Amino acid sequence: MVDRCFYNTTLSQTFSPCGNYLVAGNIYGQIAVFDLQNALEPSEPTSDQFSKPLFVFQSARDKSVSSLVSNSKFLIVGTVGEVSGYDWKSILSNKNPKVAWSLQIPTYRDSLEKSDVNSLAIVENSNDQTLVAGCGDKKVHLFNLRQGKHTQSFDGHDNYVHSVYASGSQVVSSGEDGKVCMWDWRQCAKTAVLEPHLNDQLARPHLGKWVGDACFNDDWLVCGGGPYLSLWHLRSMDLMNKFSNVEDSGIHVVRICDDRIMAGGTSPYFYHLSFSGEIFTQLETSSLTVYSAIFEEKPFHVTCLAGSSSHIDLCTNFKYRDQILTFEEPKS
Amino acid sequence: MSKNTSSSSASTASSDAKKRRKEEASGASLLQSSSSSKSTADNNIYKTVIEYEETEALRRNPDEDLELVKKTCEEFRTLMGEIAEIKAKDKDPAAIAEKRTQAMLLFVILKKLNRLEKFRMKNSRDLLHKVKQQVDSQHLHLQNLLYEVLHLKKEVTKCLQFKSKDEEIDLVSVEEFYKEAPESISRPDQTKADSHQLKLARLEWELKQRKQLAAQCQELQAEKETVAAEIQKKKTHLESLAPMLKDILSATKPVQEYLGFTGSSRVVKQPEIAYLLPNPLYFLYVQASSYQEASDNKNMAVTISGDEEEAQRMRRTAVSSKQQYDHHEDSDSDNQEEKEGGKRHHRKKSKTDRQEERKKHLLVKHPLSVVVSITLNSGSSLQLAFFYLINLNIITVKVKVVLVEVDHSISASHLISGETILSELFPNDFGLESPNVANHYQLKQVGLNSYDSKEYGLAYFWAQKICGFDFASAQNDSKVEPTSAVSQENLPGILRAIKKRLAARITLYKQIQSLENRMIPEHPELSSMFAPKTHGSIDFWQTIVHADFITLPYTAHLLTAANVSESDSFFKTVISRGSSAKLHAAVVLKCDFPSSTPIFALQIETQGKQLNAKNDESIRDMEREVNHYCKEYCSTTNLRERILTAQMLQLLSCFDIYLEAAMTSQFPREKIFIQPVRGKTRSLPYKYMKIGNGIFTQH
Repeated sequence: MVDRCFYNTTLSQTFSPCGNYLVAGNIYGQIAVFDLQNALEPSEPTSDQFSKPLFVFQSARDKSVSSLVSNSKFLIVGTVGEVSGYDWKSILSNKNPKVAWSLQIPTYRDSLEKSDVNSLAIVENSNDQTLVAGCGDKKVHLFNLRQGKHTQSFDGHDNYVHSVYASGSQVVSSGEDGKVCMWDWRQCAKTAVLEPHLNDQLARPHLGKWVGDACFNDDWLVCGGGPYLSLWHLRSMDLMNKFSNVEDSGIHVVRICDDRIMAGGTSPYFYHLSFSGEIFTQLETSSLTVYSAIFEEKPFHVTCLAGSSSHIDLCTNFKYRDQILTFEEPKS
Repeated sequence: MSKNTSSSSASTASSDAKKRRKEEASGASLLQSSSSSKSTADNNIYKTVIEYEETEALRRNPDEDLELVKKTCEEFRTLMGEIAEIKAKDKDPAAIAEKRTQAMLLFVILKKLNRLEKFRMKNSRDLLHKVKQQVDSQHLHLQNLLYEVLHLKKEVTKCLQFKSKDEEIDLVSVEEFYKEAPESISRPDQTKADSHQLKLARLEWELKQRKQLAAQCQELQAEKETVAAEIQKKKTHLESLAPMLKDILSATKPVQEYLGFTGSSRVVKQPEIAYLLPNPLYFLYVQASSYQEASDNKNMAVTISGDEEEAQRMRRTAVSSKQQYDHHEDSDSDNQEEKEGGKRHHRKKSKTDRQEERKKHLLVKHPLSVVVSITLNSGSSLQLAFFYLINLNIITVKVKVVLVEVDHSISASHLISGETILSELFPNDFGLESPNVANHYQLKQVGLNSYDSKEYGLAYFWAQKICGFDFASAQNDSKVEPTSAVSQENLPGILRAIKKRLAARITLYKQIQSLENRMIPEHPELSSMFAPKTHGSIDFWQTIVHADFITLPYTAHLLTAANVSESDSFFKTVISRGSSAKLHAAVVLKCDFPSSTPIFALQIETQGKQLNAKNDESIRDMEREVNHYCKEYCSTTNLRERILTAQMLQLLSCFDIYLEAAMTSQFPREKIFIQPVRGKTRSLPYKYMKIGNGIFTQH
């Protein structure tokens, strides 16, 4: 059927705290819960080619689910104009989970539309948890999860924020304006700005200047989008490597995992690269564009790739795609 | 540190000494090269000395040697002291020479001891090395053994986990087994003690019992079959009675009329020719005309056409030869020959003639047919002529479409042609295959795979149903007889469906006609829902064939999802804006339009690039707008058939948005939108909202 499921785009994914479930959200505001155990180690052979979700529920207000993160207690859903929390217990025991809490993204008088929550990240410190949200209003908003309060906003992008990534006291945000900003949320200050599209080696004017995603570890920062995927030295902010062997027309996901870089976007493949630019593996994906890639080690060693198709690809090693989930609603 | 350096210096000293010795030796050999025998003797002496010293080194006690070294050193020191003293005092050279000689001797002893020590060291090193090697090999051996143990343990667990097939078989409980099984199988003396034997015995008993039950089952089935056959025989007998009764009824009619009897009103109303109809067509006629009467439907008419005399003759022969018809193939054709015997003079025919004869006979039609015509309010109508193929025992339909106010000159005329307009009125019903399973074999016997649908009409499933045949629930082995109840149950729904199909097809046809003239069909209500001004213009709209459609590079992703088959209709259109941007669209229309909506596959060609749903996310979004979101605009019933118009309007507006939002350099922005791209997907504002002059947003 050429229906809305056929044109599904999955924007976000996260694992449950126990790691046994995968939760994914799409542009229609649906959130699907998948049983990984069942998908990876089916107890009985099924006739279905693709594993279907345990159940699918509608997010509040039916807006697209652009981002998902989870902590030990809540599934945190970023839609349009608000972030809401669902108790994990209610999700795993009930097919119609109720919203436990919600936080509004602060709006300003001159804005016509509510801003999208394009990306979420959680930073843990001592006993507080801070939620970092990259939003459509060109800002990065920080919330204290314990108090449920908006604590601060980072203002520095000239267009909407595509993604945020946080580690330690540092946050990196990448935006449609082509900027990659580093922030220190303890000091409430911007520490560095990168504009890859200004670098002649990296710019791809036909794709635009936007940066789809950025990620960093102790020494390195990786980012990509309209410009080529590139590696930067974190302290000196110098360009170290340009990954021109990646075939893509736009990078949307970048992650660093130990000594490898994972990258995906509008490309037939999802890439695993070394820092020096060698391609370890290129995985064929079901999606035209990969918008979300997450991985866990325990209890399953699995990478989940989702994007513009009704399918989610699972890889239990880094070599090939071995299971495919489908976003189709199970018939009750 | 100091010890190390001293030892190393000692070793270098010793190696130096060796070198020197060798040099001396070689020097000696050089000097005395003339007498080589002597030099070899020297070598031998050298070797023997070394050997001797080696044995001596092993024999001597190293501790004593150590003492000796110490003592010698002490003496050496005192001697040196004395020499120093003499030198300081009286400088007696003779005394010094005396002392020096003594010291030299002591030095020789020291040297000798040092050599011995070197040998010992080397010896003990070798010993250590040997022992080490031994330990290593034993360690390796140990590892091997451990590995073997592990392997064996694994094997053991594997064996323990082995599952045999017999565990899946449900067996009777042990108590029951002992109670029921004969002693020859249960063998209690062996099995009570040995559980393996018990299992074997139980399995044996299970097998025996199952075999018995299978045999019993077969027996019962055979019995059932004989009973069924008997029932069938009685049924056919009863059926042959029915026409005879009807004959009597019609024969007594003049008498009834003469006597002034009036039967039931319906019987009187029916023209006489209706009685000549075969059963299925008769049911259809009765049901359709009463449906028309009951609903007082002016747009529907039921008539009977055909050769009445032929029908009467047929009835007479049919009643007399009914039995023969049903039985044997040969008797059938004989019958046929007899009937046509008058015309043919030589009875001896070639084999192919006989085959042709059989074919003709098998496909013989009843001379009468029922014509149901359905007229729409617009005046267009559909004429359905129902035929009964006597020997195949199926109903076929010939469809004729009569249109008013519609121009026939477009290429998509197959949409309203009689042969295809009712295709897939119900899923998978193309009318090309006989719904009667038995026909398959009958046709094969005369060498036909299917019959000519042009000549004999189409055998739709629904046509069988409204004539009372129910092949779907019929059993395979018996001849299916029509029943009035089946006809009654299905007729209203099927007629409604046909009417709906006709109306939908005419609306669709008009839309396509307009598109072929490169115009978007006019519909004010729909136009108001889309952007009022668009810049794209239709270059052409044409019909293409299945093979062309599937080879287009941008349709691949839809082929399985849309379940594209050869029976669908395919179109291609090109929309252009300016000279530099073209939008290609391939369209699939399923037979069951509008319940399946048209599906568009898109490709934009600009600046030498071909962008489609396989390489550009925005085109995929555009396809989503056209193929999915458009349905929302046409959810009300009166708009459902106009979805093609809505999709074209949407397509034009999306095309403009794509060019104005993604290619700003070439196409100035005229539409009003807040954000050219939004969200992670960088989606374009395809959705039109009627606010002010109309603005575009993302979904």
